[in-house]
Amino acid sequence: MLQKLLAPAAESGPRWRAGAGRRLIVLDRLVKLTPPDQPRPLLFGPVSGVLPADRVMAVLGRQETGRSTLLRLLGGYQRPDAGQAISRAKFSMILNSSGYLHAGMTGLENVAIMARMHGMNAWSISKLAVELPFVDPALWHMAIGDLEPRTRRSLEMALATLLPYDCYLIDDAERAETNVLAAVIRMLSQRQAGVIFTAYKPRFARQFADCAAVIANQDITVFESVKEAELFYDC
Amino acid sequence: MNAFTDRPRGPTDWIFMALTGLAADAADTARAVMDDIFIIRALILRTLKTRYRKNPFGMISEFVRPACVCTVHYFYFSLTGRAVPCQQYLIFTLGGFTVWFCFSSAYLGTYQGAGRSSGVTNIPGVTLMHLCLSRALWSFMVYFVFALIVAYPLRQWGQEINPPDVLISLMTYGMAAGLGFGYGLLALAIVEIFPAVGPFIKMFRWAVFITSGVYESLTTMSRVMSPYIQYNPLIHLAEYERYAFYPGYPIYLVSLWYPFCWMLGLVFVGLVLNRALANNAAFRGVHLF
Repeated sequence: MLQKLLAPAAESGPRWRAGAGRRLIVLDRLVKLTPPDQPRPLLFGPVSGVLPADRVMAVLGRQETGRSTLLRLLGGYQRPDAGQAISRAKFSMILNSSGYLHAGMTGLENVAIMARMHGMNAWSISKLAVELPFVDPALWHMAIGDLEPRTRRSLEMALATLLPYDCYLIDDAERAETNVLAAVIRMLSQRQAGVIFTAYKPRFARQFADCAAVIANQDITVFESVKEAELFYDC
Repeated sequence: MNAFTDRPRGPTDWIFMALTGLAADAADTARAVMDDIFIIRALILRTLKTRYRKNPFGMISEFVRPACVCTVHYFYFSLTGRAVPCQQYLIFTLGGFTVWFCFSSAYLGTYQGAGRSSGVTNIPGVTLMHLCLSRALWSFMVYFVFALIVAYPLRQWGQEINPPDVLISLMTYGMAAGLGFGYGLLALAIVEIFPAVGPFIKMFRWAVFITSGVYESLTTMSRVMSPYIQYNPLIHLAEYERYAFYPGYPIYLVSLWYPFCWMLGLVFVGLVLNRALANNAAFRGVHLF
């Protein structure tokens, strides 16, 4: 079944194969509709194809095309209206978004709770968090509710890198602190984890991504390089 | 013989295949259960850290409310000479109110907690069901520990009371928390299907409280009321908890099987309804799964 899904996808997108050690996301006639009050009923679909879950991929698209919705579908926060997205990869929470840290606790307390949730040693994860080079250690001792939203999102991204996920989802990457985003993507790439981030500007995506997908005209097209995606996006 | 490629030849082959299949499933199930335990434990710790952050007494303040309510009612019952089996006013109030608080706390944690996730459900693998379970479990732990330790300070103040039977207390508070959890699930599902029923759910809870055995025992209740009140599973638990404190307390009219069956039924129906609602696109409310 998986091989059948992979074969037709090769006609329209890059030739990613489910070889040993590769993690893939298979989109099988995926359809997502818009909420009833929207003028356009279909957000995107039916889409079939393969996305890599072990590379840094940018999801490009204009406003209201469904970039964030695609991340929510991959992360399991929403269900498609038809079809499915299949992957064996373990997806992270959607970073740089609504947030998962408790505002009433400090960063380190949140780190300890998150470590326990994942069955990890709270003390050693807290130590790693404080030693992260791209985050000011003092920020971990402050209550999350006292931090600026951008700083809070940076802390959430930094904490997520310490948790064992296969593929990390980052929404609206342009809103994140660039140095933190760059460090996070570099760290995750070294660990051979995948990153899927959404962006509006292809030039921004080119700095970080290996490949890209473009959501346009209610369809998702996957490209092996960001440059090809940029050409398609600008048309 | 390879159990996965060769055609099985007899009963032993089928058993071998079943066992190997079960072993694989058991390992996956055990892993999933451990994940859930980690999550529930972390959620309990998270609730502790945030709830008692600014409280100088910390977790001890959780015992203040049951202690105050039991104290007030003890003096009320003893001074008014209320008919209480064996004249054990202290045990009567402790057994009745702690069971009620355990049930009520688990119910509120499930029913109201589903709407107060504070972003925790943004974490993969964490669902509102984990949050509700953590709150029900916390209710059980608080009142079970309260019942175990309350006898010691009371004995210092000259009261003749022994710590309760641990096994009976474990069962009664466990079932009280389970009943609260199941009732909370059911209430969540009913309110999602019929939103107008919400205020009646609150009124019904008052009716459950009045008939839960906190004010009357089945043995001393009027014969007009007792045939109806005995259908409330909480009164069975309250009587048994009083028996756990004082072995001479009469429990011939109650049984632990009755609240146990209620608990299983409520939890099962609540889970099935909530799962059905989660799968139904027509209901866009709070989903536990």
